[in-house]
Amino acid sequence: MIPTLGRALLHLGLGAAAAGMIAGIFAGARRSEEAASWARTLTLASAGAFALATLLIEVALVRHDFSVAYVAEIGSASTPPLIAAVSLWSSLDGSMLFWAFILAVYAGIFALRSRGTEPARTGWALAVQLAVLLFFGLLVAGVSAPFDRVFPAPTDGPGPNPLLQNHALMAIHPPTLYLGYVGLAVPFAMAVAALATGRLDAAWTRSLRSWSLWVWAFLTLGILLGGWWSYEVLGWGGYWAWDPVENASLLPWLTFTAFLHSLIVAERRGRLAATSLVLVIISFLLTILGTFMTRSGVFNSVHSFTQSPIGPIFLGFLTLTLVGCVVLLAARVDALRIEIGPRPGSATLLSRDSAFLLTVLVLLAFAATVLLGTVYPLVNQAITGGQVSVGGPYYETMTIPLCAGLLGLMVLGPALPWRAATAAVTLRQLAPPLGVGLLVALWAWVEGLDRPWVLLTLALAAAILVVSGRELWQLVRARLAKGDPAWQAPFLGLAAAPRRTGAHIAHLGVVICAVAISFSSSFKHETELTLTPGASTVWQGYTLGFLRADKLVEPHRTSTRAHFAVFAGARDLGVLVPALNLYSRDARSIGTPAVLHRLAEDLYLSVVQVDAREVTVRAYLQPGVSWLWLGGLVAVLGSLVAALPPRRGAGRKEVSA
Amino acid sequence: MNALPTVVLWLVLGCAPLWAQDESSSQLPAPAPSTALLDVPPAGPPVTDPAIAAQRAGAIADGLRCPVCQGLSAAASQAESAVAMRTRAQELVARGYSDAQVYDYFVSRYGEWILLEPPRHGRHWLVWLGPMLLLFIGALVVAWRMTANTKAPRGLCDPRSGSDPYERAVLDELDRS
Amino acid sequence: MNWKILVAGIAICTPLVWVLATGFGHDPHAIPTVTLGSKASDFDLVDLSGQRVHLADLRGRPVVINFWATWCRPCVAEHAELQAAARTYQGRAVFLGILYGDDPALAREYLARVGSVYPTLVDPAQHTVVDYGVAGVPETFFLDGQGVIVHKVSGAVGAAELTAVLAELVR
Repeated sequence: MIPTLGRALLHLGLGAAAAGMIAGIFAGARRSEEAASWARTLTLASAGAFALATLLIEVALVRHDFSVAYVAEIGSASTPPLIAAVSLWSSLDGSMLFWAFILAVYAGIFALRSRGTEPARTGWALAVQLAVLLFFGLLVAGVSAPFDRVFPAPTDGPGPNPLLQNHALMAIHPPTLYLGYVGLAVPFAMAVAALATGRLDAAWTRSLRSWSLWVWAFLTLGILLGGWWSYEVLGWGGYWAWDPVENASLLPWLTFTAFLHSLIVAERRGRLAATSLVLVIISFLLTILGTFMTRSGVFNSVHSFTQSPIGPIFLGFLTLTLVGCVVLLAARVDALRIEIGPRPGSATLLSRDSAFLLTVLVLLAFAATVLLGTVYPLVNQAITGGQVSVGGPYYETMTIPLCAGLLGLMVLGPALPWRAATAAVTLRQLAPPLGVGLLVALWAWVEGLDRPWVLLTLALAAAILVVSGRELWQLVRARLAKGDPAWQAPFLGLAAAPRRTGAHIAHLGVVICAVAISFSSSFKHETELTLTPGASTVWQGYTLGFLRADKLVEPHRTSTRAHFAVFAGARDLGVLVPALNLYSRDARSIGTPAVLHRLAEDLYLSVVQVDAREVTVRAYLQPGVSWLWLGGLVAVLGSLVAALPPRRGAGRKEVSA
Repeated sequence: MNALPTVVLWLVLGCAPLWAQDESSSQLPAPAPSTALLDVPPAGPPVTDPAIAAQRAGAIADGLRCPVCQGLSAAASQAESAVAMRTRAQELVARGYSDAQVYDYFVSRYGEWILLEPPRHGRHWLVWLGPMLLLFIGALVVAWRMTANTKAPRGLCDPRSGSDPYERAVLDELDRS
Repeated sequence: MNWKILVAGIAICTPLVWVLATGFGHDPHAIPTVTLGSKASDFDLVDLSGQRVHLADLRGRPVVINFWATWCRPCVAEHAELQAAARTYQGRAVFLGILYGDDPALAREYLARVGSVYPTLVDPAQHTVVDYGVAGVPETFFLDGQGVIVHKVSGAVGAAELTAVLAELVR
């Protein structure tokens, strides 16, 4: 029953999407309100159909209905219900359906929110989103076919990939990442609509920015959770491996961040408006490229699937979208009427304009570097036939200077005025933050920290704190000058300018991340210890005592656990239990590390080998990793704050940045 | 003119990858054709201190990839071949071979692919200089666009070109905020 | 129509799509082999029963070196084929096994159970493993009479491939 119903729902969703796309194109070309209304209704219908189809497959997974092809491929009778539900995105076919589902839901929300807006733009935007949905829906219905019927239905299945059953993060990392990744389709559709109608006005820009900030927040959170998953689950002691699939998620993040900054210049100075639209389009194209990289099996990655017909199909879609976007830009960018911001004026080299321009440039260079590094093994193989690796050391060498440049721009940008900065103004603005930065670096150096990049990061971080703090203080001071009481002024001041506040909070988050990354990569300690039961050893100020090893048998896996008592001097820090998990599906064990999160550093234990006689464990001491997650969350918070509307009654409308 | 400082600035910054090396990493030479290292004499005296040998071997293993894992270095991986590579590197270092010779040996056994980053010579210029080149071109484009805007006159009248000094002062003040 | 954007866009996108398309058909996880055609590294190891085997002494006849381990499923699967080939080419080619990342006691136990017509060598520090560029198991190397590596198989080797390569080598 479920296979038939599921297939029917998919076809319904596809039909509604196709009809809605046509209605949207009609609405865009003829500026027809009625066509736009039809497009909205059909989008909602399509979203509903895809949502029901996804619900149906979840029901099939949880109930272990092996007559459904996807469940037969990925489910097993011994899988717990929560893991069964989560296994929707553990394999290619299910994750394609999940992609389509999120895309459809976003399109539905867009349709609901677009009531009352201009029909031509809404029509084009919906048409674009439905076109993408049509592609993914056809993939799901035709090639992936999770709803195919398996006859006779088997009584059991192999179960999901063991690596994906190890940790609760599997339940939240993919959905969050998808919400950001797939969500890029909405700003993309809006940018295409602006180009198609030839107009970019304040209302559309406000809507575009609002959507973009939410999508950026989810994307950042998704990438953060991915790093956390790599750290907590994979057991190799790191959080970012520059794996092609990880790079695939970073690329659109970089270009989208560049877009958020160029948008500010567009609204404030009337420049880079066309560039902003181009950046949105590039971000979405990178999303499609990233999806191709993940699923085509062409790249050497931890995440990669085997090569299948889906690879060439995706490449075809990517090519089509690339060509379409290039042609659209070439044909429509000159005719674009930009109705945001003043008429563009000139600016000198030393100005906020210049700083923003350089920010966009550096972020794009960063993205280009990551893309080049990821694609280079293929290039080398195509040209010479040989194989070459591009791993962590390359990316670190190339991106560390770029990151330093970005931190420097985070000092310059908010400090310098728009249009032109005289020498006097520059000195006055930059002296305090750079002075503080220098003092902090000197103090750290005196305290024994002698790594140059770490010192530079600390100096720039301190400078950014001063600059951002000063900016936020201006807002609070304005309220105090107006006569507001001191305990109310901060809230009123910041609430009156949520975009500026949010931006500086996001910068603060980025700074925390930069310092955390700098410390955790420069001052990491690791060692390998072998202990017998009852023995203990002292390492880096921690006393690790191996208590015992035991086996925990669950229906889907057997865990061999090693219990360690951890002390820092005399202080009892509890028991860490790293384990080796053996899943019924695989012959080799998968390790689950145990991490003790402390304020300044993490103690990380990963089992190499364990039996009743002794245990060999890899111990890592990673400073600052908890601050990385904290910084990321702060950046996400900043983005959400920036998406808030300014508090009414503040008087003037907020001016950006 | 304003473009020149920009260009110089980015040339300097663009050379960053070449001097931005971590102190502990070694230069990766161009791979020699397949010759067994053991026919070549060691470049230096034997290293008697096992701690130093282990540290050097660890640094070398950081630059080699684990052959069976995705993206992990030979130092970080627990796979049998990675462990074997670490042991071999330590033995060669102890016998007095230089870092360059040890890398050379691994490349002759496994291929260029065993290095975690492409060698910095020869035909791999694209991946090492490409980003710098792109940055440089980007900086040129930015500089050109910024100076082009000052030259090209706008069609409609620019309020700043008006004769009213008060209006000009107000506009300047707004821009500074 | 802005021709600059059109040309620039096509100029950037075409190489990208072409490079991605060339990736199809290649297995990104495949281990490259660079030692084909070069002299195999010499080794002097002891087998499970204590006999010394020195590769240089085996010059004149083709040699098949198989790296394996008891915990490796494909190794167990290919064992029968290797034994059959070793029997067929007895006297004309030398077969050697080298233990990879395994306990010699376990290997002895396993071989006592399934039997073997050729010796398995123990490589205590696993130097030979690295000398031959072995990434994982099983891997089988075919050397000609002069000790040059002429063929390598990653993964379990089948009877057909064994026969084909050995027939060529013993001629």
